[in-house]
Order: sequence, then structure tokens, then C-alpha cells
Amino acid sequence: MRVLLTSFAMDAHFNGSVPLAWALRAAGHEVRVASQPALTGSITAAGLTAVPVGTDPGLDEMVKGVGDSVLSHHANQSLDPEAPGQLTPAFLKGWDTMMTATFFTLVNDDPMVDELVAFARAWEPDLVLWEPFTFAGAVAAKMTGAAHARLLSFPDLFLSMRRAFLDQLGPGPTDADGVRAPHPEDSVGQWLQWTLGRYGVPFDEEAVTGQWSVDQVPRSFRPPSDRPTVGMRYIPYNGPVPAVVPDWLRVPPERPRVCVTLGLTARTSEFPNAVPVDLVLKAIEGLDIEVVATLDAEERALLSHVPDNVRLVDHVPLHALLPTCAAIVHHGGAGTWSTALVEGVPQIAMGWIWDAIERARRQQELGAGLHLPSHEVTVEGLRSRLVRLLEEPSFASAAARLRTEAESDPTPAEVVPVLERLTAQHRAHGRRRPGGASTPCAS
Amino acid sequence: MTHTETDETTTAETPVAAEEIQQTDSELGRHLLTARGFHWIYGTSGDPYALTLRAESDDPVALARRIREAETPLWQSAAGAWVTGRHGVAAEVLADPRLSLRHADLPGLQRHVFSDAWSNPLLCHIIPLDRAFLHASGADHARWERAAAPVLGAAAADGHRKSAERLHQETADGLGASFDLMADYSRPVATGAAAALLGVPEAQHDRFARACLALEVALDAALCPQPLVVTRRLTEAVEDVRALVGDLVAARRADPGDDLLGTVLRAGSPAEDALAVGVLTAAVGVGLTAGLINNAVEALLAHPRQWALLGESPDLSAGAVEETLRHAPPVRLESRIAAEDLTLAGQDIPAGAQVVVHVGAANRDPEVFLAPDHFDLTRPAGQGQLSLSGPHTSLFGAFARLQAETAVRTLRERHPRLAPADGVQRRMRSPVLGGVLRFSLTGSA
Repeated sequence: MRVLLTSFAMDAHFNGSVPLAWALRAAGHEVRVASQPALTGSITAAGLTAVPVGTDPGLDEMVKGVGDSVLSHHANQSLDPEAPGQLTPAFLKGWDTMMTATFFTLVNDDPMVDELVAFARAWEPDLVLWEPFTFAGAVAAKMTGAAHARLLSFPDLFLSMRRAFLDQLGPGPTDADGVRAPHPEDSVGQWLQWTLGRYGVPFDEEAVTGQWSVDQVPRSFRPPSDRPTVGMRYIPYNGPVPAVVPDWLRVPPERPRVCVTLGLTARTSEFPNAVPVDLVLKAIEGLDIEVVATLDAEERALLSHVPDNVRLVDHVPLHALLPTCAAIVHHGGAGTWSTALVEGVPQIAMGWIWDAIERARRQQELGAGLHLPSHEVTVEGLRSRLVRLLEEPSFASAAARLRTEAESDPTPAEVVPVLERLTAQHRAHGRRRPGGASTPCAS
Repeated sequence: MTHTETDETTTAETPVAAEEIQQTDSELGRHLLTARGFHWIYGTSGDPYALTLRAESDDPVALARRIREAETPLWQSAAGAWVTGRHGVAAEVLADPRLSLRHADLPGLQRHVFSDAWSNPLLCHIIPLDRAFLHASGADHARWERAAAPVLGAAAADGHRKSAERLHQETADGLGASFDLMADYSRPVATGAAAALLGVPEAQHDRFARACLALEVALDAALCPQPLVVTRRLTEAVEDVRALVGDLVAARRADPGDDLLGTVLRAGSPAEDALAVGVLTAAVGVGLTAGLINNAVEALLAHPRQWALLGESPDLSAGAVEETLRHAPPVRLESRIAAEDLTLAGQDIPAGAQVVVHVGAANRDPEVFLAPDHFDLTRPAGQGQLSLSGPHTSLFGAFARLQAETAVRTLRERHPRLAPADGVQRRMRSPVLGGVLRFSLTGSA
């Protein structure tokens, strides 16, 4: 079958789709990856076939202009759908309004949607797999009769928040034919209604939820959902940086090894890195451990002094480094967090916004790590947490349990036949095409 | 009907309307959504003007107080506008001819596209309402006010009192023991009085009323983005009321009577001026009137002793309306654009900058009013003057005042035990008018 993958142009949101893309390729399916031109280099560096659509969305300009305000609305705000009193009407309306105005409409602007739809019409995919904020994928699928699903690389808090928001708003108006329109205060719904309306198609919630979701987050971190979900094991792929195993990593460490990383996203975008990196290194000074800190020149410039037990490297493949580590201290990003989770390494996550808070909080609840929001970092607080992580064996055993849980989900290769079957069920009749592996479930 | 260029700064010609309607839902919708997003964004720091425009759950009176009590009398909001809530500065701004409803260097539609969206977006004209004559120049307004004075001027008000009383009595006759103040009284009398002013024929009354209903959001829509469907209804209503009034103007040109449109024409004004006055009657006059009635009744019912006082002295209805203008003005925000670089309240304001007067805040300035939060219908006359100092409120001030006085007097007389059945429900996204959706009352039939 033909599978169109799409993600807006940001590595951190695209990387999670690469292993599945390759599983589909390896099973004989055709795969294209559509994004704005800025992602073309990352797509081709992953060995995949790029389809540039639209123009670069200028996310950095947006973040520079209004990022502080948008982020401050969400900073240190629990998004736990079960936590009482957190998802207030004012918070959710601000979230819906600001994220739609500054982000969803920016990364799915009309030219991007139009070119994606035009490509889909020409190429006729059987399945569109879309990054959960790249709603253009749902539009392209609807316009061509393809099946479509969201591919999640982080907990699906978006949908649980949206459900809470829609419950608070109540139903939207119905037209003369009984078709229900989105509530006038539902910005996401309004915008998708206009977007679909340009093609003469009415809005329905499937444009937000997909027909189903492929979820790479272990079960313990999935918010309650009544949507069909296909669990998939997360396979680390760190992005378009060269993955090279250095000499020193080929021999086992002599002391417990701790990884310190701030991820890659803050290096290449205007998204702020809130971690006080100098404090982090001060906290580990003098501990009888070996620290590998992945910091680039800009991050190193923030250091007043580099302790003796720290090895500074610009970059090292995390999935090669982490199996040698007893713990990891990181900024809270989804890629780092997921890689540490599937490698069974206890984590101190410094998440301060969005799902990073919930991933870290839940991980602490499950005993596999500790959450230390970046604005609360002190030398003493971080040091005492790290000592606990290294000295109390319960952290390692809880992390091992989560690793086992992650490994219990099917691999991307095992998910491929499931996608073949679901595609056959959901795509418009008569769209079946030859190609790919034998498709036993599609008959 | 003919279009006449009335002055070099105003262009409101037909092709522009076509362009407006041709904007796709996606284009117009995203524009409105972006503006709405900015109001949220600028509100995250607690900026009281941005929060006023956000018009969510925050108490507008508390926000008005914060606007007034800012460190400097005139201050720049995160949303870009220079804002004042002090009475002295407010009066100065509203009287300054260098501050206008439109950009001096932008002929035609006051349309701002957020092309360089993430820094300094122009939020002063959220959508261009030139077709409703809402962004006219000071010269246009002065001419319209002069031509309409024999009907709309303060001196003419007494001449309309009898017909106002008749209309209000008839409307009151139709009220049950419980009724909705807005739907059953304020809106019908305001719309009916406006229809009478314009000489709208009986057969067109429903059409006129429908248009007025959609136009109720006009003054809000200029500063606060409305949902797309509401915006579409508004722009369609503007076109419909232009067509309706345009037909009336054409008829009056052949046979000018002594109604409002005939009076404007007989003053030697071009047809476009009569059209403007007629459209503004629907777009501003009706809402201003209904709002003033709602706010007056709400304040009186919240202060039973004042309601009782009004029963003893029905002539206090004038004081009740004057005090409502001060205490709960029907138009809370007045937005202006600086035509040139100027200095106001010690601040340098560049040409093109937006200056906003919070009338509601200024009207409770403790430096000017004793016990400013207290509603007192026996205050000396003239204390609500600021509320009728804008070009729109000034044009229809006497009309609205007469209708509100008549309403208060009629309701007090017919329903002495009038009481709220429920709280007043106001429209969302209504920072300028605080428009009332529902206000259930139990009367005393």
C-alpha cells in the first residue's frame, strides 16, 4: 500500500515516525514523508523520501514574538486529566485559543494544506499517518478517501484536554440538516471547519482524533481514552545528527555513569531551554561518579567551571550511551525521556511545560525516576535526588519494569500488518491497490 | 442611489463590499482567530486592557479600576494601545481633533492584515466597519451631526417625547407578569423608535429589526474579534441596512418629509450623508439606546431605595439616566488614532498610535466624583457627560437619553414591584457595550 507520513517541520516531532516508516518500507510498502521544505534535510538524512509542501512556517519568529506569553500560560501547569481543579475553563480556553492562533494554523497554513491535498490527490495514498498537530494530514486523507491515523510520540494529553474543553463548552449548533457544527468558542474545531469547508467538506471530530492512533508511549503513561489505539514499542531514533560510537564508549565505565543532556531541540530552535545547566554540573561535582554531559559550545558557554568527573561531548547517540548509565539527568524532552525509558535507566526529568510535566510526574509516581521542574533546581536539591537514584535500588527495578512494559508492545514491524488491516477497513471502497507485502488481513 | 465622495478621507464604495464578502471563511476566520489569540497572549501578563478585550470571566469593573489606577494616567498596554482611565485625560482625548476614528494616512477601508504578525500587530480596527460608517473622520461626523440636529439634537428631544411615551406605553401593554427586559422591552422600543425616526415602512419593520439585531455587536466587533458566524451576520446586516436605508433616502430625495433622512437631505447634504446617518442609527443608535435602558433598570433594581425615590418623584428619571451614563455607560471604550505626533498627559504619542479611553473607568475617577462607585440619581446634572462625548454617542445621545428616561418612567409606573428574576446575562466578547443577552424580570401585573 501507499503510506503518506506527514509532520510539520520540527525534528522532535518527526523523529518518532522514522522507525515505523522504515518498517513499512521493509515490508514492501511505498512511503512518502510530507512536510514543509525546512524538514527535507532531516527526512532525507533518515533515508526516507521527502515531499516538500507549503513554505517554512516561521516557528522561530512566532516564538521570538509571542513565545514567552504562550509558554507562560502553560508553564508549570498540570495537564493531568484526572487531577481535580487543574483543567479549568479559563486555562483550557486560553490553551485552545492561543495554540490555534499561534501554532496549529501556522504549521498547517492554507498553502501547506493545499499542497498536501494536491499531492495526496495525485499520489492516492491508502493510509495517511500524521503527527498529532499536523491536522493537514487528516484533511488530505478526507479529500482522497485514504484511511488516516495519528502517530503519537508523547502522551496524548492533547485529546484528553480537548475532551475536557468540549465538555465544558457543551454542544455546538446544529444546522437545518441536523449536522452539528463546532462550538463558536472551539478554535480548533472552527479552524478545521473553515479548512475543510474550502473543499466543501463538513467538519467532524475525526479530523482532530484520526480514525485511530498509533501510540508509542507505554500503557502506564496513556491518559484514559475511548479512541481506538494501536500500541507500538518506541524504537530510539535520535534525529539527523550522525550516530557514531566513540572509543571511550566501547569500554565499560569504572564508576557509575550518569548522563546529563539538554536534548537537541533547544540547540536548533528558539524554543527556550529552561534548565540552569551550570547548577546541574555543580550538583554533581565531587560525587563518586562519571558524568557524560552532551553540551554544545553555546551550552558550555553557560558553565562557570567544569568539574573533574565530567566528560563533555557535543553529541553521542543516546541509545548507545544509556545502556552504560546508572541514571540520566535531562531537560524532560520526549525523545530523551522515551529513549531512557526503553533502556530502563532511572531519570531525573526537569520538565516544566506540557506533557514533559506529566511524563516526569507519572514516572516518579511509578518509582522509576524523580521530577524536578527546571525552575526549582538547586545544587542541593538535584544532588540529593541524584544520590537517591543511585543508592536506592527501587529506582532501577521500577525503571526495569517500565522497560519490560515498553517491550511488551509490538515492534513497528509487528504493527505493519495491523495497519494494513485497519487501512482496508477504513479507506474508501475501491481504493485497494496491489503492492507491499502479502496483505493477509486486508482481504 | 448615487454615491457621493463626502470628504477626501472617507471612501466606502461598493466594490470594497464585494471584496469584503469574498474573503473566504478560512481567511477571515484565521484573521479573527489570530486577533483573539493576541488578546489572550497580551492578557497572560495580567495587562488589564488586554484582559478587558479578552472579555472572559474577569470582572470588567475591577479591570477598569486597574486601568485607572495604573502608575501613569496614560499608559501603553501590551496590546499596543495607549490607555487612560482618568477623567481629566479622558475628556482631553475625546475633545482633541487630532485623535480620530481612522488613520489619517490610510484612505479607504481601515483594514489591517497581520502580515508581520508576531510583533506589533495593529489591533485598533479588528475588522473594517467603514461600510457601517463606524470609522469616519471628524469632519464627516461634524457635518452629519449638524445636518441631523433638527431631529437628533438635544433641543429637539422634547418634540419627540409624546411619540416616545406612546411607543413605550404600547410596549409595556404587551408585557406579562414576567418578561425579559432586553428581548421584550429595551430592544423592541429602541428598534421601534429608530424605525420611526427613519420612516421605515411597516412592511420592512421585521427586516429592519433583524438587521439591527445582527448590528448589535458592531461597536464590539471593531475592537474585539467576534466568532466568524457572528462577523458574517454583522457584515451581511451592514449591507442589508445600507440597501434598506438607501431605498428610503432615494424616496426622500423625491419627497423629503420631516423625518431624520428628509431633514438631513433638506439641509443640503448629499445622499451619502443621509445614508450614513441612517445606517448609524441602526448600527449605533439602537444598541446605545437599548444598552442605556438595560443598564439604568439594572442599576435601579439593584438599589431599591433609589427605585422607591423614583416612584415618589418620576421627574428623577432624568437623573437616573444621567447617573447610569456615569455609573454604567452604554459605551465603555472609545478608541482613537493619533493623526500626528502629539504629547498627551506627558507621554509622547506617535502618529498612527491607538489611544483608548476607558469611559467606565474615567466615570468612577475619585478625583472627580464623590463616592464614585455609589449609584445616586440625585447627583448634580452633567456628571455623565463623558459618556456622550464620542462622535457616535454624541450623535445619538439625546435620542438614547429620551428613550431611556421614558423607559425608566414607564416601567416604574407600570411595574412598581419590578425585580430581577435572575442575574443579568451579558454577551461574551462584548468589552465595549457589555451587551445584554437576557435579563429576566418579574413585574407586578
